[in-house]
Amino acid sequence: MPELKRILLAEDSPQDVEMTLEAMGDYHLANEVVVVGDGVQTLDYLYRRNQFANRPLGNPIVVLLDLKMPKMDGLEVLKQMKADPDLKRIPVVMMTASREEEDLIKSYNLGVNAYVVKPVDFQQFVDSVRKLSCFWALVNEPPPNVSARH
Amino acid sequence: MSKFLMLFRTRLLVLIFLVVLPALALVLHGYLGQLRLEKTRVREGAIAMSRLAAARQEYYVKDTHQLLATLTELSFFVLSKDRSFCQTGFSNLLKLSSDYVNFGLIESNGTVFCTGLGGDAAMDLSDRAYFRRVLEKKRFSLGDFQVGRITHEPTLNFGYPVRNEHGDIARIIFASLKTSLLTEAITNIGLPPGASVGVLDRSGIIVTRVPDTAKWMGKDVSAEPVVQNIISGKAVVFERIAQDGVKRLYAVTTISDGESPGLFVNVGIPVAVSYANANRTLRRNLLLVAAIAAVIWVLLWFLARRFFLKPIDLLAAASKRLALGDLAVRIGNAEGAGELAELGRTFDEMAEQLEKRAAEINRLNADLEKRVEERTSQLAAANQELEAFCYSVSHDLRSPLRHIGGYTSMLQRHLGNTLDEKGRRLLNTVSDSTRRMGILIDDLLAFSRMGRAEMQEGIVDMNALLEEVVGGQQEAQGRHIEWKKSHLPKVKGDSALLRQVLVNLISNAVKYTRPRDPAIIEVGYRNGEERDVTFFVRDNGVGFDPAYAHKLFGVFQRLHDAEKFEGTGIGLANVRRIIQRHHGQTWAESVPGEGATFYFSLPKASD
Repeated sequence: MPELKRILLAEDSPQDVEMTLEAMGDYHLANEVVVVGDGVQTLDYLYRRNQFANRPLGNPIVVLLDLKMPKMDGLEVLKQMKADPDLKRIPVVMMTASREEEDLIKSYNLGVNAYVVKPVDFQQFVDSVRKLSCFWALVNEPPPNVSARH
Repeated sequence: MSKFLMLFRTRLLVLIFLVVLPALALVLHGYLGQLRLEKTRVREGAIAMSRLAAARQEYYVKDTHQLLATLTELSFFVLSKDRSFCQTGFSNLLKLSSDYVNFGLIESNGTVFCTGLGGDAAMDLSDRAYFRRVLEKKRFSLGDFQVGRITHEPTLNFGYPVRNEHGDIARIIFASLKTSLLTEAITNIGLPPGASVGVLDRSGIIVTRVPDTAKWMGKDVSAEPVVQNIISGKAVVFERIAQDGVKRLYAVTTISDGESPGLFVNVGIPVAVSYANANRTLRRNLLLVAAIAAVIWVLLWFLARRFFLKPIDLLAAASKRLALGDLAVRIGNAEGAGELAELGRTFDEMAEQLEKRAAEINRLNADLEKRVEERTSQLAAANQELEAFCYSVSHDLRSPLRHIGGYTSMLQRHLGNTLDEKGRRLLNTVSDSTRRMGILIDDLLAFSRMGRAEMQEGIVDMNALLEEVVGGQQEAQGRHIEWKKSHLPKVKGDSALLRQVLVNLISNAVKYTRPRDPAIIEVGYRNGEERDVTFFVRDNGVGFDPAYAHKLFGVFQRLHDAEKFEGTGIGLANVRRIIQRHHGQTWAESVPGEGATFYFSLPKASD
């Protein structure tokens, strides 16, 4: 079965999810987006645990991570991912509602690959999401051993 | 302290002077008494001396009188017709008596019969005073001083009548006495220094005088009133300034040749002599008083040091230590009833109070410090809360806003062509308001961040900042703006924050001069204050109503409507916040329609 270019979107706000999918829809990327609602689910997906135990093999080509989520926030998820040799090569884009300097510094210290402030203006938001998904899903070459262990 | 000492010394001197004053009065009184006594003494001395001198003169007068009387008894000699016999006799007599210069007989008509010196027969001596007086008085007479016509020597002549057997005056016998004898007689009578003795004859001629005999002898002083008074017997004791300028006390004694005064002996003693003794006593007494005063002064001085200045020194030293902060200092052993002891006790009480107060202040300070610490931690907690609030504002407020905007757009998209004009307008308004609120939230967050961010203080080159800011003004491109930029001084502060101040003020100036052509924007400073420098940005724009000047620097305060001049009203609030953090001040002036000036002060960069 051919390797799907899956995008993992970790976002607790259904509205943000809908808006993000709407923006991605134009590039026909929406079908390849997996949505999780909090940090715990994100890690469950990555480690194929609980409800994601039977998901298809392979790591997502990029993780779009909302910073503020219930149970476990984006920074914690990022920290665990970058500490794991199997997950640390997965590109992580931190998505956040505001440009808080402290968050920015913490994220980069933990090894984030990109940091995006969600624009209030919808058109700008759409532009950002499109550029982002386009870059990571279509332009960027993912690490070769993303699914090496499977 | 030294000033006080001087004052004290002066007072001591005045006191001593007051004590000594009666003594001085006594000394003066004694001096005047002694002076009176001395004057009397001099007066009596002068009289005694003039009598002594007169007695010696009188001796010669009486001697001559006796000699001439004796010779007259020898009628064979004085009535002799033998001229050579007569001459030999007188000549021998002259050899026996060196006191005389000449002897002789004069006929009653005035012609000389014979003299001891001879060779002068028939000379007329009828004009001689002694001759005329003898004829007139018919007895022994004293002549005037004269330089002898025969002897050519200064002499004093005496005459005596020679009577014949009928008792008539046949001839007159005369004797010429050397005046040098008279001079000798008065020379050694023990005159005090400066004194003088003079002998006058009755016609006012000086017979002799000591000292300066040669100068005065034979001088006619009869014209002087004092001489007239002496001769007439009016002046016996008198004071007079003599021709040598010395004031003398004169005493006159007269010598008579029987009935009437013939010679006047005067002794003059300088009045100064009488003062000399008194002055000597006065000097001695004054010295004594001064010595006593000095002894009193020294005694008082030592006593004052012991009982007065020493305690004061103690007090002064204690005060100095107190002033330097040693609150534990005390005079101690200030017992006794004196004022200084009282002062010492008061000082101790004061120090005691001070020490108590200082302790109280220390306690209050510690208390205050503790409270400040408490407040500071409270403030820090509040600050943390504020930060959490801002964080949640940025996240939780922005998210729904974004959703409103997003869903509005999605709705617009979804409806597409089915949306009529009104529907499109309504949805556009929702979008615009959403966007606007987003900007407001962003501004608010930036403002809050500005207040919390760490200050990176350094020396800031305001000129470089200004150039950079002016260059970055997008709107200024393509507009006619006249820039007037002064050379600005360096200041102390955070370069990034101050850059923001300039950005806000300059962009405001550019914005509000939009209707002007040319726009004039001036950036300068005033260097009046000591530690601060005041900058200003002046424009010729639309200005503002000064009545609202106080609102200008508030958050989201706008004095112009958003349609003409865009903006949220956060810029000046940011300026004020930044300048406040630099411990400076902000204010503004304007004449509506003519322009506005915005001021801000900053600490100078120390050289």
